[in-house]
Amino acid sequence: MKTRFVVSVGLAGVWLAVSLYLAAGWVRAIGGALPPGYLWWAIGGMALLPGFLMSAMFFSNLLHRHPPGHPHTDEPVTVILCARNEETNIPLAIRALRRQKYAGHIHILAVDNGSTDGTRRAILAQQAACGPGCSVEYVACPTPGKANALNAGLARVRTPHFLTVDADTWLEENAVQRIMDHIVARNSACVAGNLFAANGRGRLWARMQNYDYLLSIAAVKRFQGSYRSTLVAQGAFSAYNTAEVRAVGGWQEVMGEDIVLTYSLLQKGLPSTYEPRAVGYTTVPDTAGSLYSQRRRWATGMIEGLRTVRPWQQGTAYSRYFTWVNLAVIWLDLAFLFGFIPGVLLAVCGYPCLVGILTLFTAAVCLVLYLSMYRYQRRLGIPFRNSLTGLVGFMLFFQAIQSTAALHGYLTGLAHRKEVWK
Amino acid sequence: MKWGNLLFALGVAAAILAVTALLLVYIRRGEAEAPSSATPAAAMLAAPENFT
Repeated sequence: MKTRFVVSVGLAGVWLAVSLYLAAGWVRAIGGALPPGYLWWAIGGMALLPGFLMSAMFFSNLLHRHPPGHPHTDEPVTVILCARNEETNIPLAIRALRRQKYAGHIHILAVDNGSTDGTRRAILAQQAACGPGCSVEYVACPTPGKANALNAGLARVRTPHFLTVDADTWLEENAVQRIMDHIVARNSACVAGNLFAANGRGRLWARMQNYDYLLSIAAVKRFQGSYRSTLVAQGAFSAYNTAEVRAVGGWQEVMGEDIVLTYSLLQKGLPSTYEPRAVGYTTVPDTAGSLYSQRRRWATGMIEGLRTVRPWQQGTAYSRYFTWVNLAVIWLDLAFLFGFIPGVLLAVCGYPCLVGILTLFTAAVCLVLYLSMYRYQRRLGIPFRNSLTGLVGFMLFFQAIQSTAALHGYLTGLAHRKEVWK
Repeated sequence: MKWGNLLFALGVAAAILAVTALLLVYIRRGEAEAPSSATPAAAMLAAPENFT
């Protein structure tokens, strides 16, 4: 693990050195056409640092060989399923859990967080339909807030490990077996599952996110997880060690409660890993407004996580590295918005000084990275349907929405503003 | 989209345009001060392969 990390970061360092050499020539050639301070800030944030980070991830994932499989476990497991006005989605989520091919017993704690629709009725209907390998318990949690609902579920967990699954997420039939095999065999404090868009054939906004989950999020989780430092065991589908989660006090009432929990576990030096073969499908936002709100929340959660556990307070060198990288992403977002986009506009006006012909080359490099991740996911045998418009939208427009919402989220997080789970 | 989010997004778009306008002014002022064929922007257009 250490050798792979040193080699991949070393190779990325070589990549950075070559890029820096080219960039220095570029800056000299531009001369005084643009302010030098701005020029270096923009080049660093839109070319040098992304190149370093992407190549480190690419080389590391290339060198990483996923273990062929873990021994099967039949340990009983609890699933915490929080819901607030989810009468439409929760039957699908529970049905998928009931149909799991898991060797042990699955106990579902369906936590109703003050729903005013038919969520309670839907849960009780699923309770009546349970077979011998599965049971459903209705838990009422009138105090609003997802962290409150999760903690209410945690208080009732009686198994060594438990899962969290969102009410709008359904799991592939082997998902519980695979994630449980992983957490038991690897003795992780938490394991993130591999999520895809459930509505990835719907509107363009959802189709674009299909590729974000498939190519970006999965690649980052694979990279971090291979060093036992996955920074987010997402609440939508993850497995946890019950004792360790209780020891850090469960979930905090913040926007990114899953991020803060994972950071707290990592601070203790505990392993946080990723299981790409445990697949779940989550309903992703299908409008610009809901996508913006979600990405803003994620960015706020990142700030909350960084505020709770500073990068230098992380438990291992790997998690320290990854949290520093997370902090650097703020620069990347700013450089994309105020470096890359103005660069494109300048090129359109006939001044290709920031973005020009060679940008197409970097796009080609980016495509190679995405292709390698695509092939990896394909080899895992995950059913995935392609969408050309989704891919084009993801490549051309997604980052602009993501960076704008993220900037908004960073400022919200820095201002300590709280939002309510709806 | 919520009003707050929409206003922020519009604010970011306005800031991007403002940065672009400032950069254009900076470039053109540089060209005006050194109007020979060796001006930076002209050099860039002459050899775009030197730039990303």
